[in-house]
Amino acid sequence: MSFDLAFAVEIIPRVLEGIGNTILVGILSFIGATLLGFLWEMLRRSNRWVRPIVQFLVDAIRSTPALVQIYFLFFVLPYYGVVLPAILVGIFGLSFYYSGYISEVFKAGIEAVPAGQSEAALSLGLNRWDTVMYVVAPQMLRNIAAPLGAYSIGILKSTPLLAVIAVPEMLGSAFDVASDTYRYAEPMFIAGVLFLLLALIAAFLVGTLERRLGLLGTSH
Amino acid sequence: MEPERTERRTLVVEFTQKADSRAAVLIEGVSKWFGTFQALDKVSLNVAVGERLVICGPSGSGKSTLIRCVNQLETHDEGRIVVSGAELRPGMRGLAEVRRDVGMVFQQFNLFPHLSVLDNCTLALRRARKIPKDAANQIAMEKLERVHIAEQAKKYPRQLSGGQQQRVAIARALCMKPKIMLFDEPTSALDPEMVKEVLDVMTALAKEGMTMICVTHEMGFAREVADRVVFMDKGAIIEEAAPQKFFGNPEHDRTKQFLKQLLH
Repeated sequence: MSFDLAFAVEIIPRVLEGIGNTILVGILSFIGATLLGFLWEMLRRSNRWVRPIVQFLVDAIRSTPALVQIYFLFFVLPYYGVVLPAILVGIFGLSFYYSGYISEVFKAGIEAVPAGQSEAALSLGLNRWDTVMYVVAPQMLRNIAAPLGAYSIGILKSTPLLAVIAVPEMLGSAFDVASDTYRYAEPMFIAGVLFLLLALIAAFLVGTLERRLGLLGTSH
Repeated sequence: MEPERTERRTLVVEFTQKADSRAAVLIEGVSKWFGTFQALDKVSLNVAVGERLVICGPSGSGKSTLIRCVNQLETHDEGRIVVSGAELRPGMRGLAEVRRDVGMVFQQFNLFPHLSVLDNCTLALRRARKIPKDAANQIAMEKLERVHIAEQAKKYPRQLSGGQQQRVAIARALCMKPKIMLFDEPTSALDPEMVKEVLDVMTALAKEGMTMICVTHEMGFAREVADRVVFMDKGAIIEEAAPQKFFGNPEHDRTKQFLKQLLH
């Protein structure tokens, strides 16, 4: 059974059925992971009692497989009466998993802002929260744009993990075609090409954002 | 042994009480270590309200560390620091309130690069003092005029020269209506031709009666403006005197040597 190009083209519409969910899950998970990651980093900086707890959480998130976390949420939450649609569990799972990594991006981005900036803010009598929100965070954005963009593509590529909890997305659509036709090469190829296209679009958007932020002022 | 100790303690208490009523800043037996390096060695210093103090000394002598302790950008390990009647302790509550009364100007200006000159000045007014935007802008423009840079209010820090940036930094600190101003080598990062414009602003401020602690090597400024000059070496105060005495007839060899190098 050789690769059949005509067949590959023919199944594109069927594989595309899942692309909406892939994009939706990808975008919402990226937003969720970014918000959670920022929260972890803020908590880590808040005080010395909270820091070790959050650090342990972040290490734990990063040291367990995404699949384990997704299965865990999917099968364990219902025991506590929380029954959510699979797609929500999936979005939360990916958000949670990537928040561990993204908190490290925030950490590095904040540390790259010169110490004199927060010293100036604190010496004016701003509290720590305002110092972060109005002085450090805006300057940090420029430092984190590139690594955050890389994770946005990473998250997009991880959406097929949600096939295990039956979230209908692009890889799932490709599998449906495969099990109907007993041909795997073409559906997987098409799914791969479509993921590549999505990643290229995401990379383009990230690049545009980076250039915009690059125009922001620098000191000295 | 014992009587002598008691006597010394009584003296310290008297000194403290006397100082508290008049002192803007009270520093008593302050020591600080960076790892095993002792940056400050039992420093005691008293700055009266309205006094202009200049601190000089070779690099690494602890002068910057000392004034950074006054607004707790560095915490001290031993001793007591009282600013406007409040004793500073590591992790204390209300530190932000104390800092609002203590303006600081840095060697590297430390303006916020993402904010305009005006917003640099109003940020703390609006966030920390909760002053509405229009009123904050008005205060800021007033202070910017005072440092002769009001026409640059809409620009960003990177569009200004070093001297202009430092004057904005002074205006930014003045917006908070501080009771004390700390200057940490404010002219050391400037090109020579920009030093004067910054010193002129500082001199005007001194003439208006601001309490000032300046770490600087601008000896002309010290001579003209300072009430007292303090010389530090190896984390300790070696000599303190009125400028005339300090420059004309210093007591310690280390001070003489330093001045000789500086005025050479």
